[in-house]
Order: sequence, then structure tokens, then C-alpha cells
Amino acid sequence: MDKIFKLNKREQMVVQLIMLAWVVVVLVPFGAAVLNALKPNVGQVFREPFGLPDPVTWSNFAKAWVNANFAQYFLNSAIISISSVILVTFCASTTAFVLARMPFRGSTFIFMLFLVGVIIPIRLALAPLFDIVRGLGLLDTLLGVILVQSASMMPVAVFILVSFMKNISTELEEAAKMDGALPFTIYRRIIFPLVRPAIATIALLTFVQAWNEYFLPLIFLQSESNYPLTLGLQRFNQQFAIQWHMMFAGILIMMGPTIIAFMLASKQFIAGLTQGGVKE
Amino acid sequence: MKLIKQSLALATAAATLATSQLAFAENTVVELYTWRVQDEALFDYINEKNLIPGVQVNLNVYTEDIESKLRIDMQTNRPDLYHAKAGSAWMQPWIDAGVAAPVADLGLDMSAFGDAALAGATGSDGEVYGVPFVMQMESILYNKAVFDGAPTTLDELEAAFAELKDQGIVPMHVDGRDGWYLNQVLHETILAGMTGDDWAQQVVTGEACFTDDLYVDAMERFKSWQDEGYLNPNPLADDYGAMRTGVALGTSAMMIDGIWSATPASPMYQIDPSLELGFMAIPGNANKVYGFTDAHLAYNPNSDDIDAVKKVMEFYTTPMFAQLFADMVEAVPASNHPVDVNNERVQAAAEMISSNSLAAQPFFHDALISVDPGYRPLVSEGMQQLLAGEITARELAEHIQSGLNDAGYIGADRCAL
Amino acid sequence: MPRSWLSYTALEKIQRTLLLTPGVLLYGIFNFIPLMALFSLSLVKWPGIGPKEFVGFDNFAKVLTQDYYRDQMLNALVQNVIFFVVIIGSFLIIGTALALLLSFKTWGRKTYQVLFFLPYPMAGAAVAYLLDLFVHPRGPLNAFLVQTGLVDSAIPFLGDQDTALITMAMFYTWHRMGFAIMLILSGILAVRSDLLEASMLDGANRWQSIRNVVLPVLGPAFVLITVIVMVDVFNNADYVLLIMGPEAGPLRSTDIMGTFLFRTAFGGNADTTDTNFGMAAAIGLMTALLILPAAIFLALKNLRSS
Repeated sequence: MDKIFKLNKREQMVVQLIMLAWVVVVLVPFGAAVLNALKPNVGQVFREPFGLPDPVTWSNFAKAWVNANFAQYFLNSAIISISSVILVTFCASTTAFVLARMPFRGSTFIFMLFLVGVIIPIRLALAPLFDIVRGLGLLDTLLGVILVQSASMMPVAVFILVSFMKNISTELEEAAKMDGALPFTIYRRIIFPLVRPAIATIALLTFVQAWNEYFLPLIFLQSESNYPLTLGLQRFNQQFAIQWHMMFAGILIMMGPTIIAFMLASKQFIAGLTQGGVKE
Repeated sequence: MKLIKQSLALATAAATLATSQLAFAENTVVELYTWRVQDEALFDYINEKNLIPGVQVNLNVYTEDIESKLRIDMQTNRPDLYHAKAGSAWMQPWIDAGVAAPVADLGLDMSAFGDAALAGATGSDGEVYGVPFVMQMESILYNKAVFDGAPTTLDELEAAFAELKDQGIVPMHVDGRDGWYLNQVLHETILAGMTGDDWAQQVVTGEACFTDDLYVDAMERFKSWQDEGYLNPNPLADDYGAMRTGVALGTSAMMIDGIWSATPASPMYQIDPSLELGFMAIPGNANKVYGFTDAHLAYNPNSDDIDAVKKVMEFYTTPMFAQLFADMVEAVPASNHPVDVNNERVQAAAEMISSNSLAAQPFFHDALISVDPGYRPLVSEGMQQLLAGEITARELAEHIQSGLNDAGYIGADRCAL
Repeated sequence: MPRSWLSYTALEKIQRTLLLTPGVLLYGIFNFIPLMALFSLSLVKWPGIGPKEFVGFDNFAKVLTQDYYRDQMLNALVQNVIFFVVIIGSFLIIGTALALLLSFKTWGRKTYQVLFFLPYPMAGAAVAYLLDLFVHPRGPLNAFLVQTGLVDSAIPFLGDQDTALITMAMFYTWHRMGFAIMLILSGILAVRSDLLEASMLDGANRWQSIRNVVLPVLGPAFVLITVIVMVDVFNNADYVLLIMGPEAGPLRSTDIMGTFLFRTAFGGNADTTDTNFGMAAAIGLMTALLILPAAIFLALKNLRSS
């Protein structure tokens, strides 16, 4: 077994080369961003994109931060993304549990209805959706964006979870039922722990989607105090599109917290993803 | 956890609400939607000095998605006022939706505006739907640090191009990426400089065709600049920002652009604060610039604060506004109020617009643009293909003409291909 | 456990309903009901505000028969397929290769995992702006290529209709590759070691073991990636909208279904007066119809493996 995964010296060198090549692909754009964000004016960026900044101008970051009100945007993005993750993981896992483990007459039909959502994007139905959100008085609120964002993730989440749950053997469940366990208990004690890797995948998908979403907040938010980072960065772009060194600084500021958060959580993240992961 | 997040959101909203009410306790706040980021300083000043008694104007600036944003936010009746673009085609959907109404309903005195200024704000029913406030001009803009000649013919212009090219400077920078630039700026300015009033007027009335030699020759001449290497090497890779950056840095000498790029709020001065821009018509047969009423202030008749709305609209008709606009935005006001302009550029532009601009404007003409496919997308597609070397000038003309013919162009029979 | 007044079956039914309800409500109200309203929306002409004009199947007819719209639709569809194939191809080939290498006892593989994953959590807008500047004719990449003499003059990656679409696909791949690698890697690590051992005992070498034991069980991971990417690239067009705008230039060479639809609903930047939500709804329904068979096939395949 070990032999398969062990590498001899020469193989190790080759593998390292390939790995480093991809690292370069991933990191060079970041490097270029850092290099150019420190330049004093756009002329230097234009004339020598890979030249060293002269003089090194850290104040670009301060200027970008002040101009772009990033703190408020960041808080809004965090609220939207985290709430969506909680909502989606809860609603999708309970729904998928019933659909996959406790089928009843009509459950396949409900599953098909969810599949409709996988195929047709909600953005298409913006006008009717807008009417509903407005009717509920949720326009220009973070809650409105959270609900719409979560609902848009539901089809894919349910789809993934159902296919996971179908693959779990029924032994444990049967035994628990013998003991008189009810669906709540079976869901919480047996199924949920078993599909944790899939839940992690869905949480990650939802978080990234919510964090990156530009369109839905654009439609459903009006006040700038509710804006998430994506709208904030666009604002910033309107102001500084022509000033490349400032754009680079703004982009880095926006990425910074995400990258730090990711570095801190990466161990759990990757562990959750790779532990068991996709079942046969 | 969810509860915490929600209450946090509510707290943020509550806090915002509290502070905003505190700030404007005594004034009515009206929401004005615009794409004109250059007017921000003006409104800061108006609000600060309380120039419209009892009214504070909150400017909502959306440079990219203004129409979408207006459509959406109108559903909740949020915008009280909005800057509208010229032409009845732009106004029509808002009129249909009942969120635009004639200024006559407010009893506004419009005597300070000439017919040319009012034309852009007039709907297809002949009513005036807004207060025009800014005239724009499109022409060649050049960086005086690298080029300061005054060519009077196309040959002289091309000689200057050749010289600049030898110095390693891009003579003319073109943004080939943005549809709005290609049809509203580049194409229309070429028309103004090289084809002239008679032809443009006849195109509108269906008596002339795009396949006429006059038009084809003009576009061929423009295309020859690219073939000679007088344009930037990859026009389709450069967007509007890259074009203005090139001219601001002096790596490019000229561009065809609107005079808005030369106002103090233009980002070009962030790149080089000492930048000096000159402007001139394309020195073709017609040798005219392209002048038009760029925007007018329209209002939402369903606004909750219609009195405050009226006050703002009235303020837009005053001499004081015209003067402030010329001073602070450094653009040409649309009213006839005598304005004391000590800014050389504003003065020169005002003169050029009134004396030497193209009168007939296909770009704003209902019969050409309110059809499927319309003049605007046909032109921007065709121009991009021309710049990409996919089609010749004659094929561009045929592309526009056949599209218009399909859409029921009034001169379709005469101009059948 | 005393449950004197309700039988087990009754309680089971109640709890089942309670578990099902939140998800169904959330999806129903904010997703499914609006989707159903699409059918009626596709029958009207409506600029997004004001009165709706009933036009029957005119919107469908226009898209399918009027040259101007049909050409755009076909162009967008073909390009969308190319876009999808390039992305999914690089995910499955490069992603599987890198995941396999990471599953070996490679030095520093934990660090590599983190680095490879780095772009994924970043906002699409940030990635779009960053890479747009990066590949600009005057940007860092071209400066490097020209200075090292690899090319004579700058390559207009996004300014040439032959390269723009592929460049966009590369942006997407750069951003999301980490996710593909992680999903495939988790599939590899989940392979039961007894199967591998048996294979080794049978005298298979490393490559044979991988091919016969590891690759076959990666099916579900591949299906998952394919479905997620397919749904995403046929519906969303964030990168193109942010970088090239709704006109999807140069010359519509980056036009995909998402941009075509956006342009119809919200207007392109060349003409903002011509918008029709009804036609956008019709286009959306037709797109859905087109990817429906593929989606159902994938879904059934995935479900049947149980």
C-alpha cells in the first residue's frame, strides 16, 4: 500500500518541479499585484510592470482604504455569507434527509422540483423574485439578500446531499428505529455526522458564492451602508479604473482578510474536504 | 448564531437610520439618481450652503448601471429626481411607466432654454420632460505636451500623425472595447468632421444612404489611419480607461472623446495634474464638432415630496445654477442665462457648440433607434469589425444600411442593397 | 419514552414534515415560485418597468427566426459550449494530475494544498479585475513575454476574437482549480486501502493500480464537478460582464448565454433603451431546455450508483 504513494528521489524531484510550476501560475498574479500596488504613479506601472517600485509607496493602501470604506463593506459581506451558510446547510440537510432517507409518495416529485432550480438560474426570474421580496418588505435589507442568496443555493445543495445520503447503508438507521428513535434523532445522531464532509463542501460552496455574488446585492440593496465588498469594489473601480496602482492596492485590500481567514481555517477546511470526501 | 447575525444586521440598519435622520433633521431629503460622478462636488456645495431652502439632495451615483438601477428602484418609488439621457427613445419607457411627466405639470418657467437645448428633453409627444442642464461636445482631444499643431485639413492632420509616429508616440488612441464609445463618440464625431449637416439630415429623412460615397470615403479615410499605423496597435484590447491613460501619460497624442474628459473631475488629472488638453474638430470636409444636450433633470411625478422636487427643478432653471455649474463642473450649461465664464476651455467649447456643431444627429433620432435592430448596436458592431479588420468601410456601410432596411428604415427602397 | 397520545407512526410523520418544511419553504418562495412565473413573463414584452404588453410566443419566434437574434443566440451557445469544454477539460486533466501527485508522499504537500487553494475564496470581481490588468497589452504578463523575447510584440489576449474566450476560460480555471483539486483528492484518499493492497499483491505496478483501482472510483467526484461547473457557466457570466461588459466583445467573441441574456434584459452598453425582460425569460427557458437532457443524464447516473 505504502509503496504506491512513496516516491524515490528522482520521482520526488520531478513531482516537486510540477508542483512548483503550478505554484508559480497561482502566485505570479498576486506578486504582480503587490509589486505594482507599491508604485507611486501609474506611469511606472505602464512603463515597467515588472520593475521595482521607486520609491516604495505604502500610502497607496491607506488612500485606498480611506476612499473605499472597506470596513463597512467587509462586515456586510461577512454577515451575508455566514448567515447564508448556516441557513443553507440546515435547510438543505433536513430536506435532503427526508427526500433521501424517508421517501413518501410525492418525494420524488419534490426532488424533481429542486432539480428544476439546478437547471434554471434564479437570475432569470429576477422580476417575479423582486415582487416577492418587495411584498415581504425585505428590499434593501441584508435579510432579504440572505434569503435570496440561500434559496439560490438550495437546489445544488439538496442535489449533492441527496446523492450522498442515498449511498449510506441503512443498518444503523434500522437499528435505531428498532430502539424507537424518531426522525429528529436519526437525522441529528446518525445521518448528519455521516455526511459531514458533504456538508463541509456545501458550506464552502455557499460561502464562496455568497461572498462573490455581485448581481443579487446589486438588485436587492439600495443604501450604500448595506453594500457588500463586491459592490464596494465596483464603486472603487469607477473611481480608480484609470489608476492601476490604486486598483491593485484596492484589490489586495479586498483579498487580504479573505486570505488571512482562509490561512487560519485552511487546516479544518481541507481536512473536512478530504476526510472521507466523495464516497464511492 | 443566526439570530445574532440578524440582530447585528438590524442594529447596523438602525444605527444608519438614526445618524441620517440626525444630520438632516430640518430638511427634506430627495434622492437624485445620476451617472454623472462629476456633479458630486457641486451637490456637496449646494447642500452645504443650503442653496435650495429646506431641501437636501442625496446624489445616488451609478456610472455603469444607471438604467437598471433606476428601473429597479422606481418599483419602490425611491428616486425623486433623475438625470435623464437625451432623446425621446430614452424617455419613452419611463413615460409609459408613469415615472416621468412633463415639466409643464409643475408650472416651470422654461424661457431660459433655446430650442436646441430643449430638443434633447422632448418626448415623442412633443412635451418637455426635464430641465436640460449640460451641453457636451465631442471632438479630437490632444495632449498639448506632445502635440500642439493646428491642422486645418486631413492631409495636415495625417502629416502630424506621421511625425508623431516617428517619435514613437501613438498618434491617435482608440477604445475599441466599449460599444457606447464606438457608436456615440467615435462614429458620431467622424460624421461631424467628415460628412456634414446635409448628409446627416438626409439620412434622418431617408434621402441619403450609408452606402453613399460620402460616408464610405469618410470611413475609408479613418480606416487608412489604422493601416498606416497611426492608431494604437490593438484597439480591441484597450478600453476607455486605457485610452485616457495613454493620452494623459503622453504615450499617445490624441483621442476622439467628449469634453467631459477635460473637466476637473476627470481622472486624467489624477495621472498628471499638470496635463493640458486641447480640442479641435476632425478637419475633414465638414470640419465640425459634435455637440449635444447630454442630460436633463427629470422627475418622478409620484414622489412623496413633490414640493421639494419642484424646488430642485426650479433651481436647475436659475442663473445661479448655470453659473455654479460652469464654475464647479467646468462644463457648458444648457440654459441661455448669461454666464460669466473666465475659464478659457469652457468658453471655447461653448462657442464651438453654438457655432460649429453638427445639427442633425442620427444617434438621437427616433426612427433610427427605436427599431429592432437599431442604429446604435449596428454602428458599434460595425465599427468594431472595421477596427478588427474583418470588414472594409464599404461593408460597414452595408452592414448598417441592411440592418436599418430590415428594421423598416424610411429610405429602405431608395437604399436597397 | 412516554408518548401516550400519539403513535410512533404519527410522530414520525409530524417530524418528517417539520424537517421537510424549512427547506421547501425557502426554496419555494425565493426560487421556485419566481421560476414558474417565468412562463407567463416569456409571453410579454416588458422593458422592466411600466405596463406589460402581451405578445404570445413572439419572443420565442423572434429569437428563433429573426436573423439578428438567432445569430447571436447560436453564437453564444456555441461559445458557451467551448467555454465549458475548456474549463471542464482543464479541471479533469490538470486537476486529476495535481490531485494524484498531492496524494503521494510529496514533500510539502500540505503547503501546496493551501497554496493551490488560495485563489478560490477570493471574490470573482477581484479576480476579474486582477487578471484583466495582468494580461493587458501593457500589463505584467506581456511585459515579461516581450522583455524575455518570447514574443515580438504584446499579445492582445482579450482584444483578439481568437484568444479572448479562451483567456476568459483560463481566468475561471485559475480561480476555481483549487476546488476541483480538493474534490478529486478527497476521492482519491477515500479509496479503500484493502483494494489497493489486493491490487499490489496481484502484481500490478503503480500506474496499473491507479488506473484500475483509483480512477474508477473518482466517478462521483467528476460528476459533481461537471454538474457544478455546467450549471455555473451556462447561467452566470460574471467574468465576462465585469471585464468585457454586456457587449461581450471583441465582436461578441466572449458572448455566452449569460451575457446574451443580460443584454436582452438590461440592455447592452451600446444601446440601453432596448430592453425586454420577456425575451430574456424566453431565452432562459430555451437555455434550460438545451441543458436539460445533459443535466438529467448526469443526475440519473449519479443517483443510480447507489
